[in-house]
Amino acid sequence: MSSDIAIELINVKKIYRLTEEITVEAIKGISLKVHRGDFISIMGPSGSGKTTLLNLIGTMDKPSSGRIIIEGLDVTDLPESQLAHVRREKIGFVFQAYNLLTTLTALENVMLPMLLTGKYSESEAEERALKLLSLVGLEERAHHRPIQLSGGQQQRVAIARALANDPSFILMDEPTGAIDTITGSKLMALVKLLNETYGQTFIVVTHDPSVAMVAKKKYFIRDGLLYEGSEKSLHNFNASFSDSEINRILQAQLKLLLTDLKALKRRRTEGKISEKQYENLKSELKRKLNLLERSMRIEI
Amino acid sequence: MLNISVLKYCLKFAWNDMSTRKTRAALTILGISVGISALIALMSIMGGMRYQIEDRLNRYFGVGVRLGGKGEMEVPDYLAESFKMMNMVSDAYPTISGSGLLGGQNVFILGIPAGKLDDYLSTVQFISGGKLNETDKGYILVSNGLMSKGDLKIDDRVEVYAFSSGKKDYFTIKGVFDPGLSFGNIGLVVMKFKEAQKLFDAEGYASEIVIKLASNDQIDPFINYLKKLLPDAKITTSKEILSKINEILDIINVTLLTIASISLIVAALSVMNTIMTVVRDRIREIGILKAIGATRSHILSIFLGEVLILSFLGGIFGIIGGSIASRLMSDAFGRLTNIYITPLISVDYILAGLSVSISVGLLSGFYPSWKGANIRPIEALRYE
Repeated sequence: MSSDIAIELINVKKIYRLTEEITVEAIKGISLKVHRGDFISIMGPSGSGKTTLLNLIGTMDKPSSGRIIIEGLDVTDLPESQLAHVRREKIGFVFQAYNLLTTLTALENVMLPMLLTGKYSESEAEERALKLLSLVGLEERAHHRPIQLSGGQQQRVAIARALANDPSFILMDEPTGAIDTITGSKLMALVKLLNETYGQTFIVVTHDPSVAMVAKKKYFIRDGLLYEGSEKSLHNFNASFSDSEINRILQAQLKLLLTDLKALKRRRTEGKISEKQYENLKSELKRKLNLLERSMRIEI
Repeated sequence: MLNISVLKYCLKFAWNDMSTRKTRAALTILGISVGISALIALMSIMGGMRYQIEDRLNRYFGVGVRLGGKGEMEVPDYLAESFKMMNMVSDAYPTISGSGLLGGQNVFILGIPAGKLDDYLSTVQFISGGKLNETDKGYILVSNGLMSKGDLKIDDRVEVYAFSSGKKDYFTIKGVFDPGLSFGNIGLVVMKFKEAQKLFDAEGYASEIVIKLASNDQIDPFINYLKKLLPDAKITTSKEILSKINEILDIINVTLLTIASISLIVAALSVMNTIMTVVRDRIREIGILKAIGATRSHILSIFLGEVLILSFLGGIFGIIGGSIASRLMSDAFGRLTNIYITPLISVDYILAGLSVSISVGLLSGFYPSWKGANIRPIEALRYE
């Protein structure tokens, strides 16, 4: 069941029926293949069908026709209860307005998706959440509430939360929309680093060309149709990390992978997963470790 | 998929929401507690009333049976002594009752063995003078109303006339007592059983034999035994009277509880309104939760958790409020009517109050919670 394709859209259409006679075709037939490890951006002005496409990819809306396949699983006709499961395990969300839960601390925000899966014990979830927060450079802020964090910090917590269940892909909706250019630039640098060194798949939907430029593969959407390519950038997003920062992030990734391996072994010994599942997940972790190892060799 | 740590988070969400919106939570709790208060107050007053009535009846009748004849005085008095020898009988004595005149006034004359007056009458209270002793001869006790009406004093010598026999005799007043509620305006004269037998010309006979049994569950077998022994006898038991009174009390109870349930309906509507507002306030949060993979049951547990906390606290405050209200009500009622009812708060009432408040909360909170849990994530996230 392990597939190289994180998500595939096959001739997806979305038609909104406003009244009996008036219908709006927001998505007019889009096909898209996002491979694992891809970092793609989808750009488009408002009214282009961008948000509709995002909702379809995020399984929060259903297409009028066409299929949506996530990691080999056709999710097009799944009921809401199973879609919740798909979102929990396969998709990480990062929204424009951060959308952290204000009543929980940064740590608890990151822990919650893990607890919802029932795969992790509370202490395991906490350990992983701390690692994820250190990955985005916010370990010291773990016990702060969102209101005590800056916009950029909140968005980094949101990225940590999106990473929590090791999703097939992370879907970002205008991730820099509510923060200033410099912070936005740093955030995108982090996303890029996570993609390059961790192999995390990202799909960024934005109207900002500078954000879109960071991606490895660029698409733009016009009047409900998707085109490959890009438009000109307005300002340059070229922030980068110092060697020590990169080293810290790589170390955090390594620790996270080791924690995952430990949790995986526990689940096997407790009989919660089959031997075959274990082998699959282990090879997945190994792939990431190799990628990380390669990055570390280059960086150091 | 609802494991303990997720449930903990659900309760945490609920608690956080309540503590950020204290006034709303407090008003809802107040709404529920008023309803529960009314319920508890009425239940405890009714319970107290029932208990007091049972208590009085028990004191009047004892755990026992009264055995009478078809006419006025035709039960042989020696029966009392024979019953007394039975194992299940703790006490038995004969009494005579009939009407007559004292100093020209209508009176009810009671002949009771010395020392059984307190036992025989429900709320006898001695006011002055002495009680009747085994050795006393020619003495009577008179009710307080009769004393003032006839302008009598202790140690006065008075003439007592019995209607059924046409006989009269002279007696000395030894003591005055208050017979309690049961006798109202009719004057009451108490004399020793033997002297009453003479006055009523009924030597060897009694109007009734009062039989006290060692325990309640012996009443039925004893009555069966009596019916075989004396088929013509008139048998009255405390049980029969109690069940009649309980029937009446049940009707009053249902009426009052119906009134109390109106306030519970108001409380339920208030819970429903609150949860609807909570859902609207938290639509965005629902969207986020759904986006990160929370299911319908997760969302449902958050809102129902809040309902549970609200209705539990409402129930607790309602029970406290209700017991205070019942004291105040019985106090006011007592001052108005001179009848004091001690409200009865039992574990049953507390449990009933709590379970009613929680079930009212859950019933009324379920619909808005369900609606909230079923909002599609895309709609929830679009909401600003």
